[in-house]
Amino acid sequence: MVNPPAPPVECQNFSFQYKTQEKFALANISLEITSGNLYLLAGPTGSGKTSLIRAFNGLIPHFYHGKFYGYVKIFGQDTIETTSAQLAQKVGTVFQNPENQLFSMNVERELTFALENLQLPRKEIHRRIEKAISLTNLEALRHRSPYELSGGEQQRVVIAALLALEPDIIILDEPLSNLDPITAAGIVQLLVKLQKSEGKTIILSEHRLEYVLEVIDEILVIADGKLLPPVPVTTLLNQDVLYKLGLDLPVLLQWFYIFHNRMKTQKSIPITPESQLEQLLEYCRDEVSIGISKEEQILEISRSSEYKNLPIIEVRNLSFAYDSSVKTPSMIPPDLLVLNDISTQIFRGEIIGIVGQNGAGKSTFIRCIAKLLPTQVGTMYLKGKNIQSLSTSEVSRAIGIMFQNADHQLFAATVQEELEFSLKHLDLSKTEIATRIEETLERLQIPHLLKSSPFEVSGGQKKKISLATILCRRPEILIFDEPTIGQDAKQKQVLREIIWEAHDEEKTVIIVSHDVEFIISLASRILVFDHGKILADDTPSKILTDEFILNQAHLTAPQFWSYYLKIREKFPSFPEKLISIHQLEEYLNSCR
Amino acid sequence: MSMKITQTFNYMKRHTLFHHLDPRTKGLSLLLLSVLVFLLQDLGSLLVLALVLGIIFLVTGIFGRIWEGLQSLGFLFLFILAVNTYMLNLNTALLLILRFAILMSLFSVFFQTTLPEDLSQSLLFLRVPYSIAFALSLAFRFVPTMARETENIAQAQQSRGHQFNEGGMLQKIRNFFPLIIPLIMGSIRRAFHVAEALETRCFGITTRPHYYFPLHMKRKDWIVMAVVILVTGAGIAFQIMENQIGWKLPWSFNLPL
Repeated sequence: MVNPPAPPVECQNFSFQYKTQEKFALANISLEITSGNLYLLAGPTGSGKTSLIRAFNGLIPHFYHGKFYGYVKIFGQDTIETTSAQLAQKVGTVFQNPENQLFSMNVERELTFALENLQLPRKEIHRRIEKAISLTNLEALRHRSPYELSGGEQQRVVIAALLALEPDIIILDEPLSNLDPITAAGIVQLLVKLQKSEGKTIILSEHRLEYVLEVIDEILVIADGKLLPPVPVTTLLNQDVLYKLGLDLPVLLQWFYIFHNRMKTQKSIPITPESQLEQLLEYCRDEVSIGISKEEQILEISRSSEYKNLPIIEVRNLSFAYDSSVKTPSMIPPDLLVLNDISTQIFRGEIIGIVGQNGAGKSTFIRCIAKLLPTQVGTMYLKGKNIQSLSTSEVSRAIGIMFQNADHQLFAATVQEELEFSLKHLDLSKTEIATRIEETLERLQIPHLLKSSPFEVSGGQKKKISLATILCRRPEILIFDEPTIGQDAKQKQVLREIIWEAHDEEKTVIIVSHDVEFIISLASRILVFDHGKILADDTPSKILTDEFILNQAHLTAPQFWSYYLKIREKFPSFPEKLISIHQLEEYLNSCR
Repeated sequence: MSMKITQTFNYMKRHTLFHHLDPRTKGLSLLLLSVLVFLLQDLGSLLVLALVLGIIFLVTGIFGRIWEGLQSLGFLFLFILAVNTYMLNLNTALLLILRFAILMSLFSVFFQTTLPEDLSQSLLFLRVPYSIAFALSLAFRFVPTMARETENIAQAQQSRGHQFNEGGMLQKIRNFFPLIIPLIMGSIRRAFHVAEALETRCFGITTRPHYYFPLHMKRKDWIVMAVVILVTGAGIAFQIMENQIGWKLPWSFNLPL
């Protein structure tokens, strides 16, 4: 009698509680992973995704200790009875930050590292790394230093290093969150290739479901440490519970869900592009039959014209190079210039999105206007004053930057001290400082954290505290550097509300992001950076429908746009460019 | 400033003679030449040594980084010069500066041209445990990452209105807490992440990895080593002769006190 092969991963009543925590991180997990499938592991921030991954690769219980109930078996072998280093040959794990998984000074050595530890013969090492390099298309990078590569390239190197171990299961913990849409799509393609042609079992944990919904076979949803009963993807996408978790679902799916609920239709939420288009057309037909005025309305939220008279920031011929030995950037070759002759005007009350590839100069630009980097060539005016005549701390009164990583700011013993530190140079009275702190925390719905340590709160709360450290200073210009990375739908909504509020207060907001949907929902103007220059400066609907610009900026057009082109074939009287379902809804409502 | 100096001791991918030498050759040469630098007692000999090394570095094309590093320490050299001239004499001050500059250049060349992985591999020959040797190469790998992180933290705090340069001496030291605390916390967090990743890359399974790029001494290694041993030996011999019988090299001189 031959036993059926053991499943890649099998859990039975598995629960785990970290030594340092009071609650169970995972409770009563039972599941069986099917060999050769691509799984999505979804769940809101702090739901236990990372813990489950640690259980699969043996870091729980071998690296993280605590109370462990039930069992986790990898190909029939109990993880307790093996070590995580031995498991590594069966389960490859890509962790969140690729930089922390790269130990070597060149890509080749990165790949050989694990194999050297396994004491494999030279020939075998050679065979394996060559295969890993060709699978991941790393040939051109094999002699480069991993730390100087871009995020997407680093991700590839990490995946290649794991492939060299020839694991049957590959687990990835939010691999796409730091990548631009095109690079992310490339990584997803690579995973599909590994699944289809190499027969790997892939488990992918990800916030941004829009990238992966089309390719996954099965979905595991985890909430509050518990696994939801497994159901097929299409069934799950029609269940209320999914939409209430605060996952970052595609905008269209969310809209369909709300729409069906409001209309009390019996139809199911469309998943495939064809069915989505069909339902959209139907929606337009219904609305139009209610009665539509023939007049074409211009819906473009073009607020910028109102502010033309008041440039709050003016940049003239700004150039910048990081090589500090260069004193006159006009002398150096243009390919070393991170910013190359940038001129632009930013007006009071605008919400501006800045997009562009990694290394296009976006971060350098915002650091230059906040005077965190010296002005080398060019002039900048802040409210009409030359920035050269102001000190960095004077500029920081007017411009507050929300940096991506909250951990880069927090250092004080309590949240209160943290905010007092932010306010110390503003010449405020004691009572005024106290009220500002109270108001800011109130607004972010975290007043109970006043006396807590910023190091002992959850990731989402930490982000809010770091927002508070800037918001309490009440700068007129708010700059957000990649604010949506690693944020779930609820946290994104908080950000949106903060930005709308700031906008209502006539503040200027600049958002640097790859997240097209987030920018569409807020910005009235987009600057596209490309190789240190501003390639385009226009409204979102112009920029995000222009193939050439999208390509240069490494963005993809909003999903809705491809549908809208077809909708407009049927309804030629609709406006030329609508780029989100909400704009269409607004338009149709206004026509009633 | 701080960034410049880390660059001076960071591996730089190039193809110079020194990059192709075995780390053991470079390590031994570094050791011997350092001994020589401390042994030589007169300004003339040190100047000749500095000149010869300078020419070698210039010809092999690695002088640029070293020069930048030396320049960035300019204030320190001035400080040494001022203090020692005041406390002792100009000659001693110049000797100290020359020794310091030569040593710094030698170490800079060593670290600029030696892959941290090769360095840790050569340490295994000295019976250093694998985990320690590997930790050393890991430390080098993370220097640029930490430098970037330091810069980011400094900017994040400045954006909250923090000024690193305000106040008196004591206040200035205290001003660095908002930089150092997040940096330390971040490093601890990073250490955890790196350790996790190491676990899943089979680190710890063995204390004797089979290196895919093993070190091996080539002919140029033996030649360089022979030259360095010869020069150091000659230097020591001349210095002994000078001390014992007062015999001087043609270029040997010191400033009159």
